[in-house]
Parts: sequence; C-alpha cells; structure tokens
Amino acid sequence: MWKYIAKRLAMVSIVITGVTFVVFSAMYLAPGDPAEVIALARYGDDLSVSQIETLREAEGLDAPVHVQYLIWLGHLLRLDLGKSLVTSEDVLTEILQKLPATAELAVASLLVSLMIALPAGVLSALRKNTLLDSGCMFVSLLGVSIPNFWLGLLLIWLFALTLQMFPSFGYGSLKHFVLPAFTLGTSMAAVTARLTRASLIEVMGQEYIVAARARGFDEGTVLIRHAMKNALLPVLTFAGMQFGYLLGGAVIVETIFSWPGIGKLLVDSIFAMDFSMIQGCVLFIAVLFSLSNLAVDLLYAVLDPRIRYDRHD
Amino acid sequence: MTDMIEKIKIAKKECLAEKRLNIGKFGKNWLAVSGLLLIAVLCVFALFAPKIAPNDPFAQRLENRLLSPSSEYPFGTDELGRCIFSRVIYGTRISLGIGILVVAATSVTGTAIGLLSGYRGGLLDEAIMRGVDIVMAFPNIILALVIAGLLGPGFSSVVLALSLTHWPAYARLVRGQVLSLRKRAFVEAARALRPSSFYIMRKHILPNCIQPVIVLGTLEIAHVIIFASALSFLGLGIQPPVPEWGSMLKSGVPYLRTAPHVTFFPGLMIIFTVFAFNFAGDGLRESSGQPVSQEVLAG
Amino acid sequence: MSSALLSIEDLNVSFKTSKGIVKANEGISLEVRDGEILGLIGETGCGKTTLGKAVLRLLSENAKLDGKIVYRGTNLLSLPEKEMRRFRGKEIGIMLQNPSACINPVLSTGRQIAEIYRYHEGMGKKEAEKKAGDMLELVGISSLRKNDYPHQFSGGMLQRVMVAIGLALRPGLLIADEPTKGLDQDMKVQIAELIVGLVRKENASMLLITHDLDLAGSLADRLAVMYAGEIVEIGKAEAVISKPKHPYTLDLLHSLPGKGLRTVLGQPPSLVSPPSGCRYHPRCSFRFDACSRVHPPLLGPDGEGFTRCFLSEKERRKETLEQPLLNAQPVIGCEKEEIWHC
Repeated sequence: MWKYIAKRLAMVSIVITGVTFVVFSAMYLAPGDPAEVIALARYGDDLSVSQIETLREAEGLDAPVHVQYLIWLGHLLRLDLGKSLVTSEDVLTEILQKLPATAELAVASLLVSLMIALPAGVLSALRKNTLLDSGCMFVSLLGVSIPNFWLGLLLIWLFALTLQMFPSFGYGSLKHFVLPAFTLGTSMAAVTARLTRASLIEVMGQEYIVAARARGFDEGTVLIRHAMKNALLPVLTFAGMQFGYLLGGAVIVETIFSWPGIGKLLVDSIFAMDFSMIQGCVLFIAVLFSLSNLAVDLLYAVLDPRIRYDRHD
Repeated sequence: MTDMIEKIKIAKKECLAEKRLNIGKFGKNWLAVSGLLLIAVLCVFALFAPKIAPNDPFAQRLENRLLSPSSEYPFGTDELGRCIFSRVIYGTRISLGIGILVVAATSVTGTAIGLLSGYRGGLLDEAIMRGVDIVMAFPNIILALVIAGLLGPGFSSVVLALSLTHWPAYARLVRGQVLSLRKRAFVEAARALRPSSFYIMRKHILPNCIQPVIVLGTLEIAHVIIFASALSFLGLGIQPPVPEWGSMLKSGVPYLRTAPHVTFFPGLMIIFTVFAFNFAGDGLRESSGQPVSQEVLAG
Repeated sequence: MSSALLSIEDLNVSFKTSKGIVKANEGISLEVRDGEILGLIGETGCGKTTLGKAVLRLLSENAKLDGKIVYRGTNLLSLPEKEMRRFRGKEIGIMLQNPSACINPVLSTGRQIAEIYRYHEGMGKKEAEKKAGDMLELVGISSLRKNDYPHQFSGGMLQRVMVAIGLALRPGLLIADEPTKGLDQDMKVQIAELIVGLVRKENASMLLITHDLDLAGSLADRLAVMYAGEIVEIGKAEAVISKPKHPYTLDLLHSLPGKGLRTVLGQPPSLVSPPSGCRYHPRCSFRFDACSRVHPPLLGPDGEGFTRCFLSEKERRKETLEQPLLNAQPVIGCEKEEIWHC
C-alpha cells in the first residue's frame, strides 16, 4: 500500500513538472513578441517602444527562455503565480476567489449525475436486453451526443425565458444552481449510466454472485452486499475523474450561465490575452485535476482490498 | 523444425481468429446501421451542399432577419437575414472536415507513438507514457482552448489545437494492445524467424490493433466535432461569417427569447452528426467485442 | 436400507445457446440417502457440475429444467423462488468449483461467513463474527484471520473457507463440486478428510462431485458415473471400483496412474448433438452393432448396482477375448484384475 502511494506520488510530481513546462511554452504560441503583447494588454494601444523595452526588462523577458522558465518555476514553488497583466490583481488570490463557485457547481452536478445515472444503470443491468434497458441506453447515447452548450441554451430558453422558473444566469441562490447543474449533470449521467450498466452486468455474471445466491440470500441482499461494491468501484473512479474535470472549470457551462468560476475566468483572460492569468488558471486546473485523480486512485486502493494489501507491483 | 512450422500454423490461425469485425453482428445492431446511414446522409450534405442548399449561405438580406421557418427558409433566417438551413448544410463541410482531419492526424501519430512505446518498452516507453500523462493532465478542452486562443481564431488553429490534445488516447490504446499482443504465440513465432521489428509491427501487431483504433476513431470524430463547435461557440474557433454550427449558435444567443430557432437548428445538426458517429462507433465496438471503456466526456 | 434424503427423478437440464440446445443432463435419476456420501464422477463437461447446481436451482437463466428433485419430501423444482431460498445454505449447502472465483474478493472472509448467520439466524454483529471465527477454527484456520481478504489466502485455505461457508448452517446435505481441484496431493487428502470428517460428524449426507476417481472411490459410500449428461453406472463404491460394469468406468479406472495410465480414447462428445444409441459407443472397445442404434436403459442386473450397457461383465470378458482389441495400446503396469486387456 505505501509503496503504491509512493509510486503514484512520484508519477504525479513528474506529470506536474511536465505540465508547468507545457503551460510555460504554450505562451510562445501566441504570434508576436510577448513583451509587446503584454504591453498592449497593460497600456492599451498608444504605447511607445521605450515602454515595451522597460517592460521587457521589468518582467525579465530579456533573459534566455530557459532562464525565464527557471525563474518562473522558482516563483511557482513559492506559490507565486504573478499578477494579472490587466487588473494587476494577484493571480492566485483571484483564482482562489473563484474556486468556491466552481467547486459548488461541481458537487451539485455530480449529485445530479449520480442521481440519474445510478438508478438508470442498475435498472438497465438488472433488466438487461429488455425494452427498458434499450430505452435507457438509447437515451444515454443521445445524452452523450448533445453538446452541453446547446442543452444549456435550450434549458435557458425553456425554464428561464419561457416558463420563468429559474434565473438564466448568475450565482447566489439555490435557484441559480438548477440550470447549470442540470446541464452538466445530465451529460455526465449519460456516460456514467452506461458504465454502471456494463460494470454491474459483468459483476452479476461472476461466480461469487452464484455462490452468494447459494447461501440462500435474496436478490436484494446479493445485489447490495455482494454485487454493488464491486460494480461501483469503476463507477466511483469515473465519477471522481469527472469531479476533477468539473473542478477544472466547466468552461462552457460557466460561460453560458455567467457562473463566476475558474472556467469563466480562464475564457475571459484568453480574450484579454492576460498571459499570467491564463498560465495561472491552466496550471491550477491541471494540478487540481492531477491531484483529484490521485485522490481517486488512493480511494480506490482503500476500497479495493486487492490493491490495499500490496498486491500492486 | 516441424515444431516451428506447426507453431507458425497455429499462430496464423490465431492471428486470423482475432477479434475481427463481425459483419453479421454489426448488421443486426440496428443502431449502428442507422448510425452509418446517418453518416452517409451527412457526407451527401457535405459533398452536394451547393445543390441541396436552397439559398446562398452568405447572402445577407436585412429585411428578412430573424424570420421563423417557412417554405422559403426551412429553418428560418438569422440575425443578418441569411438562410439558416443553407448555412447548416454548408456547415457540414466544416465540421466533418475538422473531425476527419483531426482524427486522421491523431490516429496515425497516436498509433505510431503507441506502437513504438509498447514494442520498444524501457526508457522510451516510460518517457512517452509520461508525455501522454502530461497531455491528459489537462481536463476537458482546457488545453485546446488555450492553444486555439493563443494561436488566434481560424480553421487551422482549431485543427492544430485539437490534434495536439487528442493523440494520447490512441497512443495509450495501441500501447496496451501491443503489450498484450507481444506475449502471444504468433508474435513470438514471428520473432523467432524475422529479426526486423518494423516488419513484425507492420505485419503482425498493427493489423491486430487496427480495429480498436477504428472504433476509437469513430467515437473521436464525434468528440472532435463537439469540441470544435464548442471552441467556435466560445469565439475561439471558426469565426463568422463562415457557417460553422458552434459560431452560428453563438450568434443566436442574443435572440434566444425572440428567435430561438437561430440557436435551435445548428445545435440539432450537431446532435444529429455526433449521434451518427456515436452510434456507428458504439455498434462497431459491440460487434468487435470491446468493452465500454473509451468514453470521454465532451464540452 | 436407509431412506432417501435427496432423490432426483428423471431430471433433464438443457441450455439454449447460440450453438444450439445443450442437453447437459438427460434422464438423471439418483438418490442421496441419509448419512451417505455419494460420489459423482465423470470427465470435464459431462454435466456433473450442472447437476449439482440444478439441485439448488442455481443455473443461469437460459437453463430449462424438468423432472423432479425431491428433498425430504419437497419437490424443489416446483417451489417458488422465495421458498427455494430457505433450502439454499440452510438445508443444502453447496461448495461450488474454484473457490477463488466463488468467494467475493472485496469482502473479508470472516464477514462472508458472519453474514450467513446474520441473515439466516438473525444474529447480532458480534455474535455472528464470533461464530464465524469458530467456524474458521473448525476448518483449521485461525480465527485471527477472519479480517483477512480472500487474496491473502492460499488455494488450500480458500477451499477450507468454502467448507466453512458450505457447512455454516449445518445443512443436511452438502454438495461439494470438485473440492480438491487444483490442489497438490498432500492438500487434496487433507481437505477431503476435513470435509468428510465434518459431514460424518454432523451426520449429514454429501454429494461429492469430482473427476478424481481415486478420491471418490476412497471416500464415497456409493458412486455414480456420468457420461455425456447421463448416469451410466451407479453402485456401491467398492463394487464400482473393483468390478466396473460399464466400459466407460472401466476405461476411467485404467486411466488412473498405477492402473495402466491409459487415457480414454477420443474426445468427449458434444452435448448439443450426442452420439446415437449408446453415447459411449464411439469410444467403446466393446461396441457391437446395436450400440450405435439403440439407447441402452439403466439396468440393474444384480439389485444394488445399475449400468447403462447391453453387455454384462461376463459377456464383455468373452467378447474381448474373441475380438481383436480396438484400442490396443502398449499398457504400462498391468494388474491381475485387468488381465484381459494385456
């Protein structure tokens, strides 16, 4: 178990180091001189050559690229993500301010998704190859195919504009959660339901299920005590990964519903060409995602005794 | 020697008996077949767009703006009085184009990388897999979003952004296949005779990997199309006046209350397309007996 | 003669599969008497596992059963599912094949035993766990290991856990399917003696399903031999071993190490389209014309033993002496009993 954790931790740190490199070099994709772009973002259109040069020196952009990277990395280690080029706010502070909204939305949509997916998946698996099963799977495949920006707009049109039941954008009350959480939740539910079904069907075909029936247990006991735990392990991993996805900012849904989260912050800073904010957001999202995946792996290890007891090489 | 020949014979059989596409099973899977038919319809739309579209997709007639669907404009008109139906039909070219280009690029490079990684093993494998992990450490479309955003909008930056972020799935898949195939009898037998690893990869390993790659590729076209339209929807992809579904949707948002059809129909077209590829891919997956594991959440 | 605890009357089990209807059991009639150990032997795929599972109605949904399975006067096949549950575990315990697949990998072994007590006897958690510990001790595992998970046990230990689960509720009948498969010789004997000892102590009966003729011969009171979904011979264990009446039993005996090590010729038959007439005729060294046309009934020439063969033992001796041997092969180590084969 400890060996397993150590190995996973080592992998995650390698990946995160790689991530910093990718995030840093991505900035060089933008056409033009970074100093010029930054100056443009900061001072607007009327700027002089000397302003650009001063900025280049001040930001350390005159140093060789690898030195710049190392300096940047040094700042990162001190949790200094720099200041926004547009608002001069501290990047990390700004991101942390947006985190609660994103996290709340993530939890809400995960709940919506599981509340739909688990019953649908379990029912489909238990009644496999019936009309009910085909129906559920058809709907779920349809669900996978609906882009959530379209679903979000449809929901806004129906429930906010036409029926006026829920607000179409903004953040604050419980009512504000309904539409965004539902938009995100349903699209996740589609995949989760399919996975739940596949996993439960596989488990129900195992010999230990027959063996459990042979002990005289009723189907409910067999299902809940013997099948569910095994069947839900992969579903749990998947749900955990999705939670990570959502923590990374449900970019589109946050944009549509003007949800003040990290995803919207990222999109806004891309439009403003706010380099340090983009870097900060992307890095934060990737690290959060890697860590949440790590957490899922460790949770899996805790729940599955086969991994818990050092069987893992 | 006879032993060897016998081994090769067995190996050949085993090689042929690998999970090949089961046409009969695929035929019975009506969802998959309807998926393929829908894809065929989409291809017709793309190829014969000028013939099918009743109006010029770029012609603006401000006196006809935001009209509801009618016989002249089957899907109505947009905020500039353009025929939405014609634009949607022309949009098939863009979306299918992006989908096919990206999947072609990523499946080929991803497969090559996966083959190399799985077959060579060792340090190279380790390095490649960490690279895969790094790209996959960016959830959702975050990385594509940033790349497309920094490159500036346009067709090529969408293709590039999606290609750069979508190859790892293939590399991982193919590597896994190679690792399991490498131990199998027929590869062992082939190795005993032929020293060139390129030959073995091409002749023995690649053919056995190709099917899962096709399945993944089909499903990926669906994802790529959603992602591409999502980028355009955010304003970071294809820009107006090009009739791309995502950007059409975006331009309809301000009129959602009064003219919902402007957003409704392009979205329906995305669903239709993605649905077609998902069904075909799912059918392929089922008839080739692969588990539900290659599913990614889009948007 | 003691009375029948379990009697199976004319049981047919078939499975609908994509390759056709598999007739796994056909016209099976046998009984397990009070306090006896009945050995059921046959090669892999002959339907013996199906028979064991059929008794408790544990077969998959595509199985079709007809006939009667009467346990203490109740026909199990006519019971509704809910009633049937009362018999599983409580009246009839079963140890399915392959313990590593039959024990849930994510639950501790102690918990898997304890939950039986909690479910059937309504015990509290503490009490049930204590009983589970006792049960583990009974099968020779320290009760300290009750919190361990299945993958932490060796094959032999897991088989012991299976014994504990099978006998947890002190059933009147234990069905043990290949309890010694995959164990080394030493462990085989230990496990077999453990099961038989416990069953005898409880005064219970046992249906021992195995392909191991040696084991069945030494432990069982009576033996039933199965071939291609049919019972081909039943009799007292000593009688079947020393004077087999069916050529298949004879060939099985010859395949034992030390008794010739001569394998039974040919492939096991398909259960989708079994051979016509006597099912063993394609592989039988004593076959004659009628064998391929007429299906022999289960005959009991001397009261206690039954066999599904047209030839009596005596005739068979004569027959082989007169005819050239069909499967004459070099035979290693011949014993006096089988002199006619040399």
